[in-house]
Amino acid sequence: MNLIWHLAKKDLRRMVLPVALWLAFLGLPALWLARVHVPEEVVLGDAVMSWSNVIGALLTTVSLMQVVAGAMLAGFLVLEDPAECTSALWMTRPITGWRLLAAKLLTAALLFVAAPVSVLLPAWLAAGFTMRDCAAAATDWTLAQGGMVLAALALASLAQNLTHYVTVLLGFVLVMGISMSRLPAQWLGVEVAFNGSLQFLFGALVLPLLAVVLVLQYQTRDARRGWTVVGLILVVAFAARIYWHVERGPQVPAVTGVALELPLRAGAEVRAGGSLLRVAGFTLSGRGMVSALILEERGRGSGFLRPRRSGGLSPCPFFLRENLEGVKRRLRANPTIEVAQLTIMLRVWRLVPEDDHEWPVTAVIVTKDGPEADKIP
Amino acid sequence: MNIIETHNLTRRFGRTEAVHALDLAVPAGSVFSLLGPNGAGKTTTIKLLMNLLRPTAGGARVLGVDARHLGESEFAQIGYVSENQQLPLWMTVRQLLDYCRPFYPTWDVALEKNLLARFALSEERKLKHLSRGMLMKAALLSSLAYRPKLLVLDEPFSGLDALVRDEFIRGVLEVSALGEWTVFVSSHDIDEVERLCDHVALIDGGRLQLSEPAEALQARFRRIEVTLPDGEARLDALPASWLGMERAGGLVRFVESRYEREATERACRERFPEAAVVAQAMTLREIFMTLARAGRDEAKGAAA
Repeated sequence: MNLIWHLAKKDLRRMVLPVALWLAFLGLPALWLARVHVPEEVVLGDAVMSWSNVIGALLTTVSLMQVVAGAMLAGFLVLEDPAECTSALWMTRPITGWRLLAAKLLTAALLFVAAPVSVLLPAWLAAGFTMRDCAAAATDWTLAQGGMVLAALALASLAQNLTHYVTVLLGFVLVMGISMSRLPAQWLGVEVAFNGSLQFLFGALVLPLLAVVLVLQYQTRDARRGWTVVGLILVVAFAARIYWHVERGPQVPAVTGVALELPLRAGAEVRAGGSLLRVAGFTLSGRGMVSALILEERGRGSGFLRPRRSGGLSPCPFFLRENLEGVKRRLRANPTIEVAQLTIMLRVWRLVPEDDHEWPVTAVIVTKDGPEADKIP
Repeated sequence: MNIIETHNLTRRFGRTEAVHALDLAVPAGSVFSLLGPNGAGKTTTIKLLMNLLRPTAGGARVLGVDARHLGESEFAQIGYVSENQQLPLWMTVRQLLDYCRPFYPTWDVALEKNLLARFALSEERKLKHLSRGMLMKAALLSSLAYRPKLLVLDEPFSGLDALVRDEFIRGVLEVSALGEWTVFVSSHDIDEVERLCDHVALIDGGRLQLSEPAEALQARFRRIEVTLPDGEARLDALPASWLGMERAGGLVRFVESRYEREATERACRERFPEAAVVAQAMTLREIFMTLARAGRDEAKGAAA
């Protein structure tokens, strides 16, 4: 263990500057989003959609850049002691493949999971997350980031240098992207399923296979085996996309809302300063991975309410808070509303086999004009 | 006892056979030189010995262990320095030594300090700022401080200027005198290695040409010069051990590869009864040049 930590310390020292820059790149936008507020004139005017779109596009771009930078850093970590060459220092030193792999995984866990979570934590707290929310967000981050890091480590272990790694990574992402899209099915003229179970299948098969690549490469340094497994991954991805026809699961019954601890009840009223923030709290602490929260507001009154959404690769507290706060502000600012129907759509998938589907939970809260049954279509 | 043994060691890259059926035995305590021109298969051989490559056929034993199963305990007794080795250039010399030390139970801090002083290495300089010669010295230091049983040097003199090369060789000679170490060095630079080695092997085209103690090798090779008084000589049906036969007027030159004073003189007298015969000692370079030319002539003859 001492030697593993010794190896990890070397990598931590090597990576400290690039990772610090990457963490700043993660933390600063999150902090900004946690503090920014939609201007009142934007909330009440027609500019709200374009404003939201700009922020959304910016967030998507930044998220993508964060992922790319993280993948590059993970590859760099492996290539510091390459496994696919005959000139690496470690290969002629008393360092076994197991020990080096353990050190790399430890370093990756510290740099790409623990460090980002601790950087994002202030942003989450600033956005009003409870500790439970933070734990859920951290789990969410760890799952998403862990998968990406594992893929990056596995591919980098097969690469001879950084250029080779970038080429391999681009190729892998491209082929996986195509296999995840509808293109293969269109080429073959077959119907494909588009469901959460496929996500589960990918998680259950692809990630362990990537782990196998990593272990094989550090143990045998025989890249042919690793490439064979990568080929298998791509075949599985294509085949699963085409031949996996598990349909969406049964419609979620009303009781699921309770099971998910959704604090909804028939006839709940939404008033200015009401309990909507509790809903946000639920969204982030619910089981499974919340991929998006969509607020759809429909009013019979002035008709100013518009749908907006939050989403992204990691939980974004800003949109949740702003959506909910914005509703309250608009309710306060416009007392002429007689009826406002607020629809909260939670696009949820869970990583459990029996619930291997993706479904929208639509909870309808009726205000002012009387109770209406909760609807969960 | 042999520290390294190979038996029928073969490695192919596609259709190219980089090393062909190599049989080597490196005695413990020797300074063994594997010599050959560029592309002869020296580095491939060393990579096979260090388990950096897998053999296509045959095998090797290093420190009594199958090279394919070299583990932590064996590498803790092997020092390896190669011109191609990737060193962590972002580290300082001190950081490199601090990084390497915990892996070796036998690391000798006093020897480390001694070598730092001998090699005149600045501890706080980053490896990327060192000259090539100093970088090789840093690599050598990090491979010597734990008193390895076997020191493997792969083309350690490449790219070094004469002065640095001299310092490096002196460094190796000094440290090899400090303990019972076996040194296995590959080089195409015969002159430099001649000062170091007591055993020598020549490899060309992936095939072993010879392997024997340097002293015995130099003892059995002589350049023979025959001065013919009448210019007449019978140069057909020469002994197979006479290589590189040349004639210029009344002077006949060749290399005797199985020199024994009396036998060689007798053979010369039979062919050149009235001639004056002079036998001169040869350097390793001259011996290898002769063997390389003879090998190529033989190959041409076989092809024809």
